[in-house]
Amino acid sequence: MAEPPPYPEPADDSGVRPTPGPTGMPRWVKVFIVVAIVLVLALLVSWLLGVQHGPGLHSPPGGSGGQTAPLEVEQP
Amino acid sequence: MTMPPALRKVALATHLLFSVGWIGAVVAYLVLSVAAVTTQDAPTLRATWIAMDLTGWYAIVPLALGSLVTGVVMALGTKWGLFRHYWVLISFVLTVLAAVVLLLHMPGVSVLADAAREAEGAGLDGPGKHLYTRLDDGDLLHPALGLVVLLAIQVLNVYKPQGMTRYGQRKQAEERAARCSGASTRTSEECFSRDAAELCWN
Repeated sequence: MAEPPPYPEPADDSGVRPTPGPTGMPRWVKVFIVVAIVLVLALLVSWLLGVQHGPGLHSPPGGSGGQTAPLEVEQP
Repeated sequence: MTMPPALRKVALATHLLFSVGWIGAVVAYLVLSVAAVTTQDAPTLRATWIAMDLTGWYAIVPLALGSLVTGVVMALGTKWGLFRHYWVLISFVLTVLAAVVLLLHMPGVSVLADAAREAEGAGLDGPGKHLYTRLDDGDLLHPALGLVVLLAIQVLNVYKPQGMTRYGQRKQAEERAARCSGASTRTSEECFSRDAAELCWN
């Protein structure tokens, strides 16, 4: 059996067509959000555990925080 | 307000230039970071940090800001909009996030690049080895994660997966109602088909 057309035929159309209702969030967006949350949580946990991750200005809680201290210069 | 086609092409070309340039500059930064982690040579270690500092401030930061600005211009100057489609919205959020992390991160790179400059003449195993504290840790996480984010944005921009936000659906319905009110049967068909056709140019 043929699928019914999603909208009335043009001949039956008086100019007013049913507007499709609002569609929900696509699955790919939900997957994207879940992956992002997992990544953020992983980074947060590593930060709370004090794992160093480069020369950024952010330090783990309890650390000195703020700017990375300039390195000592060896005097001749 | 939508841009005329000629202006849109210029804006698109500029946006591509900044965005692809950003990815390329991050790849260069990542290569330098890997070299910083793996090298056993003091001059090379110092050079990598100085090069990362220069690459970051004079290539990555301008390209990132340029990509963000031109991306917003492209979104607002076309039918895509900034908040209408999930792929545009997610690309925008990720780009802002990447740019903010970059701007917060670079001052720390500069501090270590200054330390690398001051360590000139000191060896990795000699009495001046403490000068290299933290330099040999490298900086792999930030550029690696940044590259993943930029590639995700690139994939979204190329494939443009379907999906309209509630705001986008509401705006589309409003525009359709305005366009189709009182339209004849034929123009009604056309006004419905325009929703898709208008987004086919990119």
